[in-house]
Amino acid sequence: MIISTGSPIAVSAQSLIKTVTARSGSLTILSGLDLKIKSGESVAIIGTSGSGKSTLLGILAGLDQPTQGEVALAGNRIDHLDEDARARVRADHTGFVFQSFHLLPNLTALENVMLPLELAGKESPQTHARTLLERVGLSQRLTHYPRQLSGGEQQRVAIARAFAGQPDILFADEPTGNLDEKTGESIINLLFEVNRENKTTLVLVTHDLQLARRCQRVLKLTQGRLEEEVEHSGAAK
Amino acid sequence: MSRSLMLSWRFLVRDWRSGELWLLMLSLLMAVSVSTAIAIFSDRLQLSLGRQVAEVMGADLVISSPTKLSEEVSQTIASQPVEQATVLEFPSVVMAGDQMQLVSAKAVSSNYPLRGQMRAADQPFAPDEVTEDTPDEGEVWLEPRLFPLLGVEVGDTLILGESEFKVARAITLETDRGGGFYSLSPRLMFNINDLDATGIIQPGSRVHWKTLIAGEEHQLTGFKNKIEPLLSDSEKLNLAEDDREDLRSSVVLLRQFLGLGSIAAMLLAGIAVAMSSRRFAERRFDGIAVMRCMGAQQNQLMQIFIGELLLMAILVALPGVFIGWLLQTGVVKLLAGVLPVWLPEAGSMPMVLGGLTGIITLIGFGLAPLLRLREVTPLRVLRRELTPSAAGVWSVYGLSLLSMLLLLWYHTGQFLMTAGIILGVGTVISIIMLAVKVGLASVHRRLSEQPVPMVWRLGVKRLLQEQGQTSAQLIAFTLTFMAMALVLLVRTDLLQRWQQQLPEKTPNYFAINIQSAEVEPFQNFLQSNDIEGTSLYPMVRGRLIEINGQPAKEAVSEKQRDHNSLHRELNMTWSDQPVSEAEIVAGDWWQPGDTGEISIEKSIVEHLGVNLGDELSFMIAGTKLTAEVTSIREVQWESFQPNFYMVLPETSLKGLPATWLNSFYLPPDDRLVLNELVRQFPTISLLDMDAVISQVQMMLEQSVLAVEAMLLALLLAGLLVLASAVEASLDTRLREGALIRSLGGSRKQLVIMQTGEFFIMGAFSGVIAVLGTELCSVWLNVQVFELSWQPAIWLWFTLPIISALLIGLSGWLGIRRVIRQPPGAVLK
Repeated sequence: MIISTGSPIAVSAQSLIKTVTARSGSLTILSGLDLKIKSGESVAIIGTSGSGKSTLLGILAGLDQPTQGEVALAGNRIDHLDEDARARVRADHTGFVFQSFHLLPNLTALENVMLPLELAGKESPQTHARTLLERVGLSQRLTHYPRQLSGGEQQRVAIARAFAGQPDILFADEPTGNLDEKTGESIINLLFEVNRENKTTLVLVTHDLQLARRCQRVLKLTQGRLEEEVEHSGAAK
Repeated sequence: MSRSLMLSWRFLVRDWRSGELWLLMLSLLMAVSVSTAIAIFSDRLQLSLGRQVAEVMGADLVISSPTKLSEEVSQTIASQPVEQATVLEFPSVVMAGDQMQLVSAKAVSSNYPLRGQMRAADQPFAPDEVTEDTPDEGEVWLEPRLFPLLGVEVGDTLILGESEFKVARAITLETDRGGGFYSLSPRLMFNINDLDATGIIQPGSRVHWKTLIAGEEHQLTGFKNKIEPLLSDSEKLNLAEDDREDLRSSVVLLRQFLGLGSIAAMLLAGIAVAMSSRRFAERRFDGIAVMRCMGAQQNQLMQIFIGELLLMAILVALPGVFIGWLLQTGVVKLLAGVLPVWLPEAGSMPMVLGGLTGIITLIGFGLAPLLRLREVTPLRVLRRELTPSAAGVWSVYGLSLLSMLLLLWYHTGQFLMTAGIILGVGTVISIIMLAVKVGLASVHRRLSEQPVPMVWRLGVKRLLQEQGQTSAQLIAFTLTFMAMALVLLVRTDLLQRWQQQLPEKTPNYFAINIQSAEVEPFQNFLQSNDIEGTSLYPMVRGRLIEINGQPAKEAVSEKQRDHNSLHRELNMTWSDQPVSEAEIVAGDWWQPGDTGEISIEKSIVEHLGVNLGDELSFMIAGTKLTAEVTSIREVQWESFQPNFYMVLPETSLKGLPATWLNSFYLPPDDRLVLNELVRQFPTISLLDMDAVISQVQMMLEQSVLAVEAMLLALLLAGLLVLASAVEASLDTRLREGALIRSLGGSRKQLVIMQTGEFFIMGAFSGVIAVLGTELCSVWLNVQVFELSWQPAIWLWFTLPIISALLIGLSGWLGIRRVIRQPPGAVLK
């Protein structure tokens, strides 16, 4: 049984190590990484390609397990849990936005947003999903399939879906990576707006420094450890 | 559970709407409709074959008894929704002027026969015709040979018991007389309403009562269940199929063949389901990863997807059964000219089975690919290359084979056949897996030694990296070809066997009761009239009285006590040569001059429990004769050649009173010669087998047709499966092709590369399919159909070529789409 304690710390990691074994030998991706993210805080994790950003996001969100170290989500230790138990924690506390949207191609925009609500057995998923899609400006696109939507529209659906379960923590992996600059800008504005309205903790992984600087804190992943970036504008806009 | 069922339903609706399900649904629909069609068609055909046997018997069921049926049984019969007719047979003496003759009298009710038809002529030996009539009151109909014996003509009178009758017609065929030699006296038929007036039947008279019953299948089943418990030991219930040895083996063969067809059809449908559910599962990897990300539990998702498939199976079953029904109705309509005029309606069981087949096929063939979904990790949302390992071929096919074994065993009731085919399929899968592993390993070694041309490199690399996929495709191709080839091969053997069974000029007349002194003149008569006859067989009649020194009726079990052979005189012959070596199934034939030995027919072993080494004693014309069983023969009763249950050495029987038996072929136009024959040899009894032979011939022709129709349906289904197998493998090829073209590859290079790969896979599948087919056909021919087996050399040449061409062609048709489309469209 996992009990959420309503901790002021939304995400924490301690002495996190992740090594992978490849044919050429073992490779250390994270080496004794420590991290604390407060509830309601927005944090960007930046780094070069291959620095391990996505690996770190996977471990923090409970999609993957560390080789060593402790990870807690909303006060729940998840590093020692099996996949199904971690899934329960995710269901209760997290939402995701991905670079490649990850909409289910055979579901309409509305059905994609309804999906997490249905899986969780929530009441009247359709009404809730409709409201969310209206919020992201897609009230005219409810019955469209992903292939009938533009990239920006697909990401809006993904944002609506991410907030459907009213998560405490939103993990976003390069949310503008597949979008042109203008569309990316509007998507980020939307993401931050909705995030603010829902008072959600935001963990954003990106290689885009400008985007990162819209978060309250920017952490840089180098050689398997995080360093606080001091110079940035500081507040989410 | 109800929540996940509801989600399953929603997923089903959404997947259906987005066009995701059609391939799987089509495969399932094919599984259900083909198996339903075959089940219904074979059920109807079997019923109709049963009905033809019934025509020969005059009824669907016959209750025989030595006395009138008990009041209780009679009332129960009257209360059932079936038709009934009564027939009474007894030996009697008939007088016409000074002439007296022993006849086999038969009193019939006016609705006799219930099945089949009688044939009669206005004059003896004149052309006959089908008749719906029966003798009116005060009339008798006589067998043609009885006219010269009694010296009567149509219109004359004769006396039977205390009554006088007018001779009205000549009977040429009674359906229920069959080809047995039991009632050798000539037939006299009259109306059962005249029976009491003759005063012949007294308590204790030797009479054979037969109550003929006819009705629809379900009525008969109900009737049988009701009546059987009421029957006394002396009242026996015969089913149409039990009655006739000569027709039965053909019915059994056809049923087995239709069973084989069902197995092949289900195998094809299974392959289609396995392939499309694999595709169904693979297209869900991303969605599952996203849902896992959202916190969905592994079991929850499995429940949803398995629920979705089961709901789909149930939904497909209904239209599938309907389409199956339509299909078989269409086949029946198409074949209207050649099928029996009236095909009985099938029961509901084939439809239920057809529907269930869909569900079981889906579980058996579709579950294993679906179980891979359990292994989808949520991390796939970040790292798309994290694909679950391919379902092991054995987990896919192991489950499939097991479910098929159970389903088919139940469906066809033929364990040996099912087991043989499953073993064959298993062997084929093992060979393919081994070949893929060893073959690709050696290709891999070569590749590392020297690079292959670019056009082959991609294909070879893909085969290497996706061994599971390669094996699955090869297995699908091979099993499809195997199913088709096997049915084709067994059909050829079966047709040959049927052709041999009734060759041209099969003897159509039996002359019996030829006296020893008449043997030579009789042979001369045949010769002078250019009639082809068999050699003459001596026939001695005797009663089996003891088995191993014990009275025969005590030596056998209670059940065996009722067998005919203990209640009548048996026909025996002598011969120092077996008719053919092949018919001896146990023991050895004696040497000329040996005595005290006997050879018996196999069915005696089954019916009386007598075996090699047992001593049988017979009473022949007041002389007791004892002989030891030294050989057992198996007789082809359907050959219409003289056959005997008991054969003894010449020295044992010679000197005992014997008559002779001969069979010969007489063309229909030469029938008038029979008048002369009967006049010259008045004591000879002549049995006309023409009508029976043509009945059997018609049945065989229909069986051939049914077999051909099934083969055609199977070949079409097989082609569909092949096309969908190729189609399913196109996904990756399409992308790869587009990539090559975007890199500047020419259309020609692309065509050579991909068509060549399909071509080679086709040829390889063809070779393995021939091997599997031959393995199965040895088993089927020897163990199931009891036909001789010979390697089908032609298949070794044709099948690999045909399969290479077919697969190559389907691949080429698919690839053309890649070439036509701009690469950008595919890559996007």
